[in-house]
Amino acid sequence: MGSKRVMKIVDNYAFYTSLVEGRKSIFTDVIEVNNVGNNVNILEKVEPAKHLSIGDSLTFTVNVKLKNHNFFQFKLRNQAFCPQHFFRYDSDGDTHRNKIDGIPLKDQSIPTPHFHKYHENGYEIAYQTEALLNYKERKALEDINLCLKHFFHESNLRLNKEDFSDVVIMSNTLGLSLSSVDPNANIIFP
Amino acid sequence: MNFKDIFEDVKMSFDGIWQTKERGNSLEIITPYATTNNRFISVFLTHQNGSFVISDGGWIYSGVYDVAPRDKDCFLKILYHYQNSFSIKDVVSKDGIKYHYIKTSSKVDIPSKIFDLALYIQNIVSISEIDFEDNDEKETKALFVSKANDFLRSFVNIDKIKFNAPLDPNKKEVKFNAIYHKSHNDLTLINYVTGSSYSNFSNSIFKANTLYEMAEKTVYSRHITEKITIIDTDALGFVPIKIANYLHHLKGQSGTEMIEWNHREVLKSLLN
Repeated sequence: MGSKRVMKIVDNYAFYTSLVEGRKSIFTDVIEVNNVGNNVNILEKVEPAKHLSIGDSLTFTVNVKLKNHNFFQFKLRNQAFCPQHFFRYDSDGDTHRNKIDGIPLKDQSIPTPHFHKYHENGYEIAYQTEALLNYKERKALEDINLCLKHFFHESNLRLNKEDFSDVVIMSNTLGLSLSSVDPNANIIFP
Repeated sequence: MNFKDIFEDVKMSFDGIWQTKERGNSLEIITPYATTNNRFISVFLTHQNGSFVISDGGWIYSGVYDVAPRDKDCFLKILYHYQNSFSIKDVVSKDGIKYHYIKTSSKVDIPSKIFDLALYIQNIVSISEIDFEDNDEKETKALFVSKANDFLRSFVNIDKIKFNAPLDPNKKEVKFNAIYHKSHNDLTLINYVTGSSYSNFSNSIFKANTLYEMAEKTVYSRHITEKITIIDTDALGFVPIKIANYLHHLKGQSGTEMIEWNHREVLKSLLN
């Protein structure tokens, strides 16, 4: 949760920075996201990953909302270092507040899509890349596979050494893509 | 010092937060109200059957704000207080997500309703961050679960027992501390009862009773051959004179075997 200060990151910020910036690898060409995880409304696939210079084992998680495949997250975790995901992408969802002194209130608001990482003060912050700030590119990145490539670049992650993975959602079904962007759709409010 | 200029800046800063996103037949309105976990609140405006509806989009209960509303009494009291104060209604979608909303037929009331719903969401999400369970209770439970699990592991065939497992995979809320599979069609449900205070201990007994009742309503009920309740006699909440009637009721209602932790050796003959 965003409000919790992670002291492990504060105390080891140089390590944290190399965790985010250093080259990381995963080993699955096609990531099949077929099953729900802890939350029954969200599909989840966890893939093993590795940090090449640090050598630590990591996990790379893809979450996709069951009823809206345009609502997805990519997350990186190093369980041995800290239980929180250390780097994340949210395609949709709530607007994050970067509550940092010196930043004007209106600039503290970072709507989705956005990336999350940790500030040196140990709090999670959100940011948008140049591509996400550009309307046309942002629209294109609603495609999960284009967005995965963007995430790979931003987090310095690759398939093996230099390649990029693909994501397939619900490959065990007819493959209908669901994208109900309106959360009020199909709800009768009595 | 010109405070008027500062006030104008405050007003403009707040104004700068408001944003919108088109979402099909709804408009997402991002408000300047933020939670304690640093999320700006969104509300969703739509028009349905001649009325304006402002909802939370199901975001509180589907976990978008990264919190899970609690089911503790003290949390629910706060929730109902806010719900009543702001006249918030709720409805559950087909896929089980609870939506909070306000309706109005008058355009002039929309800003006021958005104000109320945003404050409501802000409070509920922020309060959901509070851990209402006291540390003593958490530790008592964790310690007994660990002791009892270790004891069962010491003599039961590990392939035949599942810890912290649901009886029916489709009803994850009907979960037992352990389920022992004597054979494929012969199940023993095991519940641990403990508590750091008399009141927590009683609640643990009530929970065991409810779980046994719910288990009888699952499709697996005909395979349940035995129920065992392990009573933590070392817990501070174990006050026999106060809880005897509750334990008696539990035994009468569910037909469970009651095994006191200080007589745990009996389990070896029951589970083999």
